[in-house]
Amino acid sequence: MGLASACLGNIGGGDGDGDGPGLDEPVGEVLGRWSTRRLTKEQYRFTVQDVLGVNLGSEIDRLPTETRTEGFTNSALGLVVTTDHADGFFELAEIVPEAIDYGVLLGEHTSCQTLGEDACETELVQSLGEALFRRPLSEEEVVTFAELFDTAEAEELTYVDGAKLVIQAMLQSPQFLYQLEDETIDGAYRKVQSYEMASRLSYLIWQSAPDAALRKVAAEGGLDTREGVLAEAERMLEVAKSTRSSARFVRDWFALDALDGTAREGLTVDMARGLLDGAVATYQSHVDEGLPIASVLDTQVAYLPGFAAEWYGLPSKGEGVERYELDDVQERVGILSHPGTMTTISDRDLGGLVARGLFVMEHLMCRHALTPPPDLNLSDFTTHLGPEATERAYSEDRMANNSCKGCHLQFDPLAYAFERFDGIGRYQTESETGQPLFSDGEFIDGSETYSFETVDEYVSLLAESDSVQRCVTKKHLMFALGHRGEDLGPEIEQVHERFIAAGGTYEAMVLAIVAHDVFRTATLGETP
Amino acid sequence: MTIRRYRNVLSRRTLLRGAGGVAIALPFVEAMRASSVWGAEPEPPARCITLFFGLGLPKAMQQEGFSGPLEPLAPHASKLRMFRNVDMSEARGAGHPAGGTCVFVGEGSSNGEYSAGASIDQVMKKALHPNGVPTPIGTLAVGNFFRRAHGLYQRIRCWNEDGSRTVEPIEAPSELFAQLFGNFQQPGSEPDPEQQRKQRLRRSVLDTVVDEYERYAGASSKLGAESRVKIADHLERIRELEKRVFAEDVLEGCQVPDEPTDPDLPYGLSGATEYDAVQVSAASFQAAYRLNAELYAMALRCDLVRFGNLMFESSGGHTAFSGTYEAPSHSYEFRSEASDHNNWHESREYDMRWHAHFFQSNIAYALSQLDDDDYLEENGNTVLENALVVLGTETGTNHDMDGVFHAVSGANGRFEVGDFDDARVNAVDIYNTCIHAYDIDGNIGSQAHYNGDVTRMLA
Repeated sequence: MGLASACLGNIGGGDGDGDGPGLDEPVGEVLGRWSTRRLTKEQYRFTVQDVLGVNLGSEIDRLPTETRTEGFTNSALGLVVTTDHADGFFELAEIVPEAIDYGVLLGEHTSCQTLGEDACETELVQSLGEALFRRPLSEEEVVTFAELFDTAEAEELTYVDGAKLVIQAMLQSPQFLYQLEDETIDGAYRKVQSYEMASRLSYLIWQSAPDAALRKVAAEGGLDTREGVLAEAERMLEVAKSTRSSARFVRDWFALDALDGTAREGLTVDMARGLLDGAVATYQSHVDEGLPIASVLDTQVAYLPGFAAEWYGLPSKGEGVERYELDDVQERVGILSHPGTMTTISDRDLGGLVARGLFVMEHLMCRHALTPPPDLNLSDFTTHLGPEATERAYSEDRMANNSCKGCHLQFDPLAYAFERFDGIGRYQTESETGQPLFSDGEFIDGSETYSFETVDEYVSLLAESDSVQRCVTKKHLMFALGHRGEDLGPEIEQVHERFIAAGGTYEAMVLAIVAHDVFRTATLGETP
Repeated sequence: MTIRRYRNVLSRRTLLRGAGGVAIALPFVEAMRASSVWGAEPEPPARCITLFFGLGLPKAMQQEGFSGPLEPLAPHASKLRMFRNVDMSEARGAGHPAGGTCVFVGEGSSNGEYSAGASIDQVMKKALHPNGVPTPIGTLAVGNFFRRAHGLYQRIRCWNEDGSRTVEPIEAPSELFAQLFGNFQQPGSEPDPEQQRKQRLRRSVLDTVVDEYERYAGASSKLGAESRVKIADHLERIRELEKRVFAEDVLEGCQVPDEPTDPDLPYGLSGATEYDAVQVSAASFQAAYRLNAELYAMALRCDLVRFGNLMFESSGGHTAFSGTYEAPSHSYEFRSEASDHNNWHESREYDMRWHAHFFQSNIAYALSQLDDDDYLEENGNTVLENALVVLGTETGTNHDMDGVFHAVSGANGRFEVGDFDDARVNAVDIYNTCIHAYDIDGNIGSQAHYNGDVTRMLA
């Protein structure tokens, strides 16, 4: 293995020259701004699984559940380290080494296993370190981590014990837990280096570390050109583990993690889990079939557990999640009316209508609600219509009140089509108090007002909406870069054009992003 | 390629740091005085703890003084300055996301997912301890709440300067106990040789890890400024972890409480549906909060932490209490079919009044723990008297920002306390007066709404 890439292996300081081979020049697109990100809980799990062969199972829950920030669990702003994270990383670093099959792991990374022999110790540190840190280690790093073999020797332990100490330390080190890059900039921008690009690609597409093949491509300069990046990304998208990222995206986008381990009235934990799996599978099948992302909003296919199929009026194919065609099903088109989604975007305490409308506005149209004025006092707006009135009736009452209309007009109508779905996505035509429920309405999108009579019409309008399609692009950019929505600008349009031109599919989206300068470069974007 | 390296059977790390073994048996002084807790510091250390309660307190009810929902605070009136006319228009809007991100920060966020800046406790922590706090825990956030659907503003009260959350609140008393006291060996127990070796190995590993974080956070790092801050924050968490794992002497001068049994409540994400109001027994909720308050107070007395927040109900609430609240003058039956938020939202005056009274009775309990004169500090004062305690909430009357109740403790003689303060003031003015009283330069919060320090507060 070579240590010549000091600029790659020595970000923490030292004698690296700070520059090196990189991608070809920018082409005039918006340049990137790098946000160092910690591995998410899921990325930690996948990386340990792929590199060390350890399936953590429920032990991963020693780490806290990641919080969605602006909808995403991998937002740089949200990936802080709390006390629980530090404790979790510490505990997992002791658990993981005990679960490793050393016959396999050492066979992959060392040619000898003699404690006290420098060659045997440094070989492991170099080879395993490169897999865990996603780049070759600097000489200083090799020496530092290999010293832990000295500790093992001093305690009269074995080579394997020494290896365990090395792994413990590596699993808690910043080189493992963070996607770190050499942020030294000499000029207006920096080009992302080969190993850094391998890591960016790998965590975007696989939610895990680069494999040996990808690192080999990086070492040979195969990621130094836009064409090289695209070729490798295309290969990676063909690998089965690319579904990890598309699944993570849709789980974040539609807040589906809320179905994991929770229950509601009429919905057990197991049923909720079935809906989660079904909603993810609905999206995944869309990705697998190479269909445009936005059309998942009015897809005629749903993956459902048996009980939910019956909610659709379809004969169940069994308890498990199965594919169902919706051609003959009314008012049940697209992923939004999937009971999994209907459940997660509902809010029976606040009112399902407001929560669903806000969701569509913020996560499908990428618009934020106006903040109510500081002197707003809700005392005047009580439940004067009585408990029997439907949410639609209250909404229409708000629309008639200028104090309320300013905000609620933005999002209430976006949920009118879903009035017939209860808090867990069951279809009903009357409320619990016998009031009729409706699915018609009209909403404003840009400068146009659109009318609809049914859910089918409404979700088709959303799927075809230019603002929704641009929002899909913005959401993917946020997911890929870890940025806040407000930090993104013209790159949305630039990526969007390429994405649409290439068919609007998930694959087109990933390729449009990785080929763009926003992914391949970084500006300072901060005061050093 | 093989790298040659200097080697010694007793490695550098072993020689320098581990040769003597790690003593984990703790000196355990029964004395309640805290003379040794502060170490060599002659003055009480600067501490800033924020106390939060959700949903606000209507301005008219504040004006009722101790004959209204503020009645439970009466025993602590001599130790507080209570502001009843706080303008929090720096929240930049009405409602929970605006108020929930503004309280203790002094500026509302445009997005309930992050703040506009650091909270006052974090401002003080960073300013007074730029190289890391000397306590085992840097920031301690504890709270009882269920709402977590719409944004971090609901449960996060401790914010970093970049708008990210500093820590997540701990909910279960047993979890809080474990974090504060769980790693300490009881006095008199024999050290286990195998455990001692395990600790030496842990020390070697963590020394290696810490060196790496220091390298990346240091001046020669090739990371940018923002990235270095992230690494430095992580390093701080590891240093805190070390103090827990290798607990030596840190409990001298304080008393480990009994391990609590958690009241029957759903805790954490597993217990709470994301969107629905959670129906719980008010008695259990209160019991959990009070256990947490007791542990928090002990953590302060033991100098395990100096900065953080204790929260009673989240911003926006949405807890549906059941059972009876026995106030001194009234017995109130909770309407379990409605969440506390709905009582505010729908301006149910009677229900809101007794919910608010219930809230304040628990805030008063937390204050009584901080003010327990069985635990006087070296200068003869209680924690409440010595520390900066800022009590605040998110809204005034039903989601507006007019009359957002606040109170401030004396902070070891820095502030005049003992009465209501009804002069108009912005929350950001109060916060800045607080930090300036600790000789911290600069201002926090919205400069557009900052009218200058509240000099009448100063002692």
